[in-house]
Amino acid sequence: MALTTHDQAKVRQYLLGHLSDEEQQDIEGRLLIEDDLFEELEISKGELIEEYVSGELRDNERRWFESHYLSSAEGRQRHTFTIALNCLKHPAPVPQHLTWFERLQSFFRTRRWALATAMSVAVIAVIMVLWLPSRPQTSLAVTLNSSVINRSPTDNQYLQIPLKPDVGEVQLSLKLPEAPTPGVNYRVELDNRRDIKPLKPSAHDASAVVVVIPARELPAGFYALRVYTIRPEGGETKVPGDYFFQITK
Amino acid sequence: MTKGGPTKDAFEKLLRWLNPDPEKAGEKYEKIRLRLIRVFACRGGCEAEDLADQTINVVQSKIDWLSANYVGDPALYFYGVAKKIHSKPKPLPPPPLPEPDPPDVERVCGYLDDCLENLQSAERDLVLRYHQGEKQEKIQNRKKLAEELKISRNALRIKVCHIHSRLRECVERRLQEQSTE
Repeated sequence: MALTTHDQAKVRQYLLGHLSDEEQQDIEGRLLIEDDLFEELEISKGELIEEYVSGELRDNERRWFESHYLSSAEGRQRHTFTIALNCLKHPAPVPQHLTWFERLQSFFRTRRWALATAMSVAVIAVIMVLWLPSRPQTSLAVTLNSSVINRSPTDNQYLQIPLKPDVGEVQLSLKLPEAPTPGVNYRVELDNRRDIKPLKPSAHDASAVVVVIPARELPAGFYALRVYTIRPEGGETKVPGDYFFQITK
Repeated sequence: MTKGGPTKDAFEKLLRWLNPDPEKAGEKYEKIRLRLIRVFACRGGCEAEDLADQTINVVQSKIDWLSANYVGDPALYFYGVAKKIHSKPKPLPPPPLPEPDPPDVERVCGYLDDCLENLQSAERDLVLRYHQGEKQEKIQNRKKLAEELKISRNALRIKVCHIHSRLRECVERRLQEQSTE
């Protein structure tokens, strides 16, 4: 039996918990015997996970989807698969114009003397840096986007932050996906995959929340920051998406 | 046959009840089992396969009566049993979904890249292009892609869903191979 738009909508509602018990049983019975409807279920699951990962689902839908389909072994597997799909590298398009780096490469290929000169300058610069007295520890400022914004398949979920030994603290500016309601405060959690540590923002405005983390508390590894808005009347809401980064040393 | 199921004899009767042709009966059995698992998965929890097997065991235990009396698509009888099994009291709901561990995602990303390489170039390009863009841009991109391929948007969804399914199987195989090494 050919599927109607109504059936497609019903399957979506089923997965998001919008159906009554009777409607749910009706759709489940049909899933057992109708091939097209079952195929639609498979497609809709994939599309809803995409929307879940990119933070497009409403709060109640998100919660339902998490506590039902995504809590199953199959749901977890497909969730990981969808996140992995977002890491896919796109094939590089044929360049229409040479980039600055390509032009530089081309320049050095045709003028070997220039390459030799540039390398000599670089060696001298390195020697000078090594001879300079060690400077006091510095603060490294980094801006992170929420995974809701970082959803292009070309974006790596984890922004690499190389930490040099002279960096004393990392100042992370967490861009907010939506303008907040005036008067809200924030709290931030740092998840290092073993513990979750609370962090107090050092500043915030309409577009970003800033946290400062001592470099000694950031060993090499993967991290996620979660931001919560605290409403003036009490209660809090998670800002959609997480802020992923990877510390390398 | 499901684990802990009644008897081999009951299982054979069950297959005959599904279809007198053994090959078609086997296919029908697998189809019903898979769909029961999927329905239980949509209802949540980690035990979808166990619940599907419990359902099949209950049906098997009634096979003599069913063979003699039941009229209709057997899949619907399975579903009737499945509803009763799922409505039994359950433990507390699961905790919120944790984000997958980054190493898991990285591993899956790596395998996914390899599996994509094994696709025909047209299919690989289709998957990559299908996931380009965000929100409205993505919708427009998919619409354009369907037009280029001269197929409906629904046909495009189905096509990509089938490629995804093969990619997931390929990634799962790699993960299993890695875990047995």
